[in-house]
Amino acid sequence: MQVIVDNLDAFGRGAWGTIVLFFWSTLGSLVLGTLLAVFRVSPSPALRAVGTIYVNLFRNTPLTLIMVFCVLCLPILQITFTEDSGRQYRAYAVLALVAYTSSFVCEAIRSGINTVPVGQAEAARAIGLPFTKVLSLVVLPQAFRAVVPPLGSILNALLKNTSVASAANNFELISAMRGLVEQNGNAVIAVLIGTTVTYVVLALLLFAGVEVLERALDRDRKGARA
Amino acid sequence: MSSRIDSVLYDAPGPRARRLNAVLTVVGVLVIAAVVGWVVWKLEAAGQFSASLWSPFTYSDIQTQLAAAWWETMKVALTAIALSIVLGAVLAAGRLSTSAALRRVAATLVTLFRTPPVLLLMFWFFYGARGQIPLFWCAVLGLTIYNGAFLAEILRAGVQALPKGQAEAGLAIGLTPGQVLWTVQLPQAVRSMLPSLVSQIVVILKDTALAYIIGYSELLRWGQQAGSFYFNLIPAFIVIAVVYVGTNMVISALAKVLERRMSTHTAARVTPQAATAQAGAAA
Repeated sequence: MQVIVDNLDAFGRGAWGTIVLFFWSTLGSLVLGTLLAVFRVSPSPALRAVGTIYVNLFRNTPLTLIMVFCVLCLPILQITFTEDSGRQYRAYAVLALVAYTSSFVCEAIRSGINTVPVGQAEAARAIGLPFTKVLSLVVLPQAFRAVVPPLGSILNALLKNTSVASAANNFELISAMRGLVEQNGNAVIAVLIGTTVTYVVLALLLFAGVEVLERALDRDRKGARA
Repeated sequence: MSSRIDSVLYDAPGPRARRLNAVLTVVGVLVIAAVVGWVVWKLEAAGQFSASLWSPFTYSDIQTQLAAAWWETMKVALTAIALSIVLGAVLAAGRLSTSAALRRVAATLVTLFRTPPVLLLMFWFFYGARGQIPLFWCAVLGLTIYNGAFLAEILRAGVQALPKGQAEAGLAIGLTPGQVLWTVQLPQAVRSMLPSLVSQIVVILKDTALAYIIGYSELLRWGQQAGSFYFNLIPAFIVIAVVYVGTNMVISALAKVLERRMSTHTAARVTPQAATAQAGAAA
């Protein structure tokens, strides 16, 4: 176990890389996923079709394929974001994670919209709100509440999926682990345990965060009822 | 179904709304067409539409290789699916057992198995055994452990959603709790949870691509190597993406047929929503 103590900084940098990837991918996929969900319930058949095609395409494609495509093929197409190659690879990895995760976020939000009682939308329409306001003021805020638990498991999957970014020249926990394994051939099991424990800690932190959010949203609702 | 709320979000459109919808549709389609057009323009600018890049896929030996690579992926997927169904059923039986100790052990294993990334589990077998385990089995075992835990949770949720009377009737005619679980509850849970089970199977199929990272030669690796060899990476990736998406869609379609056939045998209707929320959208 000495190897873990000696290499705490490597685990720390690996974990930080994972957290940074997770943070930007969460932000991106929440935005794109919500937009796609709006497309999928919109009155325009064309937009609905776009949403459906996107979701079916990206949900059925392996994340590793999307990741490797971004890293190997986007440079061929001269699609670049920065000069700095480290940031460039991170941007590709985040792009792949966002493209993949958005389809799951979209489906979670869409089924969240379905859990909002019909009366809510009817009441909103009855007081004369247009479609955009029915969605943004009445239906979506309630849908988000119903969406928190499934969104929690999507984010949990996203946290684990950041490991695929190790195939895209990103420094995160798996890359850190592979480096340590190569340097410490006699303490492989300890390195594996260290990596697993770090993932468990990150997952627990995420779980606690989702729990807090859930309780906060619940309190809001109770406040509104009183 | 979405139709329930879709129809209530907006009225049957009047003339003004129809005009607005038409405008929005046009704007939306234009924006999306612009995005697609930009991608096509980028592809064209990089010369990706030239026939020489695509023609290798018309050669019969390339097609044979593609089929062989696809079969490598399917071998990993099918083995992992079979093993994780077994593991899932055993873990679910453990979590539903009458022995508190067994329940605790199974619950711990489930949590342990599904917290780390699949990729890390594969590396456990790869590095942990110092390369003694063939790459095929590193991939299969990693997938099995991870997805077995998820399948266990799906099955458990399915059993718990069954009406109490099912287990009570089984016990009343003298079956042991174990017999009730294996002959009465689990078969019904499998039928009612079929949608969630199938999406987990699609997850397994997609995650076989992770074997690329530990260095196993499957579809993705073949695509990357063929693409490097013929200098047609982008067409190669598009071709294998089509193969993956096609395979997954066929599985989903088969599942729908199976579901329709099986639904007539289900004693109890169970809504999979609660369980799906628990099982989550995994990797």
